[in-house]
Amino acid sequence: MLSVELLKHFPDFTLDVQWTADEGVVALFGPSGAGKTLTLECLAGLVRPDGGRIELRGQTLYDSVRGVHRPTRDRRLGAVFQGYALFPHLTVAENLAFGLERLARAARKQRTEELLERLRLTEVRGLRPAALSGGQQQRTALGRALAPDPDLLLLDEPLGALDSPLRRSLRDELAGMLRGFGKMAVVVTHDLAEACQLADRIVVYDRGRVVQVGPKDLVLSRPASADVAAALGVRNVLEGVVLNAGPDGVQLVWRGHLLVAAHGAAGSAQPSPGDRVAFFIRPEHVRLMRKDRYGAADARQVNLVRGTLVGEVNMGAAYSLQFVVEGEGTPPARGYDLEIAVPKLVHEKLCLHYDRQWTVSVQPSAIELLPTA
Amino acid sequence: MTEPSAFALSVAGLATGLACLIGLPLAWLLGRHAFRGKSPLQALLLLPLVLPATLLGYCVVLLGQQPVVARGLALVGLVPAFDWRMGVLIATTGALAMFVRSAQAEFARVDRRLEQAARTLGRSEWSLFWAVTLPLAWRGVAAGVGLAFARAVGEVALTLLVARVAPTPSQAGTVGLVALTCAVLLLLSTARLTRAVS
Repeated sequence: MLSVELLKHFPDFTLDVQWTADEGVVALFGPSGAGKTLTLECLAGLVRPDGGRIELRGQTLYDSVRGVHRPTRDRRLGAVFQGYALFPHLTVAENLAFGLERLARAARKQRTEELLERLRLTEVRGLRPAALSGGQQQRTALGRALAPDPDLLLLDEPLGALDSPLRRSLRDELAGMLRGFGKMAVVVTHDLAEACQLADRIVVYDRGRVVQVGPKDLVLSRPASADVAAALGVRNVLEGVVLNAGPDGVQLVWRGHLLVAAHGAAGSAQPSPGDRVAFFIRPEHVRLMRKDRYGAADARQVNLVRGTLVGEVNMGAAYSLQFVVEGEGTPPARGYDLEIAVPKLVHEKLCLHYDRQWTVSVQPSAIELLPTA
Repeated sequence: MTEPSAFALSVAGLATGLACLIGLPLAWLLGRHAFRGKSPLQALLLLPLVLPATLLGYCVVLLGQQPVVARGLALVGLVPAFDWRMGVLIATTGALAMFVRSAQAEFARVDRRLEQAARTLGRSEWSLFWAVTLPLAWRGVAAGVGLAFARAVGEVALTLLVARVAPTPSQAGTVGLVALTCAVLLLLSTARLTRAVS
């Protein structure tokens, strides 16, 4: 159990956050400059906060009221720094053994050997970090942090400096190792895919504050606000007016169309008629209605909207279509209302290059209401 | 080797040792930390780079002929005339300036995250200095030792000449030659060290 409550002022930035996490991996996710790394530095004791408290497994690491500020070396933490910060003058084996100074010689040797073996570093044990591949550097950094058997592992943008293909394979490897060692860990990242793959729980940061905390599935499927949705890179965040709200769902009017949403916003009271609400529809949940089968199915479909495709982006295996609906008002500044994701095969089959007029449908369960701030 | 040359080298050696002993913590302090009074301290330490320490020593000797100053110097065990201790003191100030300048720059260049990593791994400040900071700054420190010795030899040679301890022109010449050879050799080797760094 980790409980964090931090306050730190700078002339142009204030960190004011509060969150807790149980065992497992928690990701601090958010844009650059949101205060994620600063939080990690406070956890490690490298930066002293102005106020708050930090508790780890019943131990107080920091408490402004009681004047507790444990020095870094007594916090029993393992840290993996951005770019790894391996000791360039020491070999792989010496790097791994660096935190084992308090152990007796034999125990130190045994632990180092065990880690070399487990992290597949035995063959490069005598090399300096500069001679290692990216994967070997990552494993050495992780091994060095894990060697003293810390209570908590801190990882700051562990894959931050890498290019895309390597990043992906190292992410898989890191995820496997974190599960394998079963340590409680805090990972700082601005990459959503990284947060999703590595963590069980996500803390979303924005401008020095925590905007949402929760299990990752919940955070991903039900962002707590339009800000969180934007931070998570959610597309199609729209705004409508509530017509009616009941236990069966919420009816709302958006650009002159009636839409039905299956449920209200996560963790917030039902909206009242007349309220302006933000909602989003995932691009992959917008369905293009096939014209050849359209007639018969029409009656059973809800949330049907007519419009025009005005642009598309080729994403490789899929297309991202830009759709403007017919109705009241005008589309937002980006020039279209909805982003629609379709697989390449569907794009070809429906001749979307030529045929631009479509009716789309959205399942009520795919309309996610965002709580009003 | 003539008597005065051997004397010059041993005084320079002693001065270099002293300069390193005092200079190591000073260079670390100046290279790694910001504190009040850092600039004046830095300026004072580097003064001998601008003014030959021997000139300062000569001033002390001249001033020492004033009774008040002489009594003050006597309190700290110095005779206001040429004496080997005075020689060591003068050479040390010159050597210290060279050592600190070189080592400080290298300490400043050590990646702080490596020290933070060492802290998270349970190391104390003392332990991480010897295990991380010093090994990473060793080139600057080693170059500093070389430069300090070269400077110390030069200062001692100059002092000997000014104080007329090397009475004959040939002896003075030998001292000068020994100093020159030392300085050239050391500068060449330290140049290699510092080039390898950048």
